Amino acid sequence: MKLHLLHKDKISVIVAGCGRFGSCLASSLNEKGYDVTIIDKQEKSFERLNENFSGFQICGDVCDLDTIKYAGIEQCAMFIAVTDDDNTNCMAAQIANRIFHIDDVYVRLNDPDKEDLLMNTNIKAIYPVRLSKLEFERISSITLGKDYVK
Amino acid sequence: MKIVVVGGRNKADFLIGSLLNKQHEVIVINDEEAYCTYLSEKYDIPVILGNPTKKYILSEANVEDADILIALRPKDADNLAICQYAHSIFHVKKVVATVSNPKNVELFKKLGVNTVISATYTISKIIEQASTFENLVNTLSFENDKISINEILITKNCSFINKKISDINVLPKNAIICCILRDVQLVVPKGDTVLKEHDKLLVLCDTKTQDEVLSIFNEGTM
Repeated sequence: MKLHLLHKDKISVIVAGCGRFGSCLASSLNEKGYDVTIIDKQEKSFERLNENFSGFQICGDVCDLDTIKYAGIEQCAMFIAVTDDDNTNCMAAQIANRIFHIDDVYVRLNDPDKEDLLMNTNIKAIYPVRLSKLEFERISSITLGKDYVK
Repeated sequence: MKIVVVGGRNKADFLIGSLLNKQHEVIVINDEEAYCTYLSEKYDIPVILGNPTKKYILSEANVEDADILIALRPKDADNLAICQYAHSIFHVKKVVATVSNPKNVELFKKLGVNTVISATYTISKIIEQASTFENLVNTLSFENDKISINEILITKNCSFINKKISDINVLPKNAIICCILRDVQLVVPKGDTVLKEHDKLLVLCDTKTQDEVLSIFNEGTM
């Protein structure tokens, strides 16, 4: 069993970006018992959260040091950057991983080329385009070649 | 030198003109079509239309062997991505970023972008110094803000007037008067040089002792 499951206290997670994916992750992790803080630049985005969501909501810039410190980044164990902007996600993830030394950092990147910016880090990236392509291959039974994403 | 100017509007326009005047080879990348048309009509230089935070646009613009890349986009995260691409993928020798949030100056340095300029940060420091120290004419900092040169005016109530430099023993160890501007003349200070009213001193010191140095001249007491 993983160590964090044995741990008595709740695991703190920061989710940056409360879009469709961010709100879904935040709501589900919260339901699973994680201590979730969600940050978004627009207050209105928090309406997407599950009505039973009991985590913290912070309205602000996910790349601003004061905002993420206020969100408790110094005590958090996991950071997930899923705003609608790749560059913002890359910057926020690097702040979490390289400045605050959080090992468990996830980032969503719409442009797969951006993986170059995460070289020499252990930030884990999710590429929706690649996943969609795989799913298309699976349901259509057509095997596609290399990526042509720009 | 080959210099790439990325993003920006008025700042970019002014900078391009100034760089071309100094005979540099300039390449521009901007994602606003109308602005690109304007720049290519005004200057005879390559102007690339596209989003500069994309790797293929930087590659199209041939930034590969550039000496300097300057990122002027309004969004700090964009400038970070551009500078990191330029530095680690395209091996640009020097990358310069402007940032809107003054807190990002230190942050960018930690993330590998060495030259970071924040207008808010710079201007607020100048305003702060200009308003607190009456006789400070100008100040410049070097080496990532570690060293500064200060242009200090000797006003009539300063007790250093008619004193030899060797007699001024209140300056901190890391500060030195490196030049005196008297009328239109430049005087190289020696121990027996006597200071006069209206002299302008160039004082070199480390940034930590800057405030101390400025208050010594501001109060002018020995």
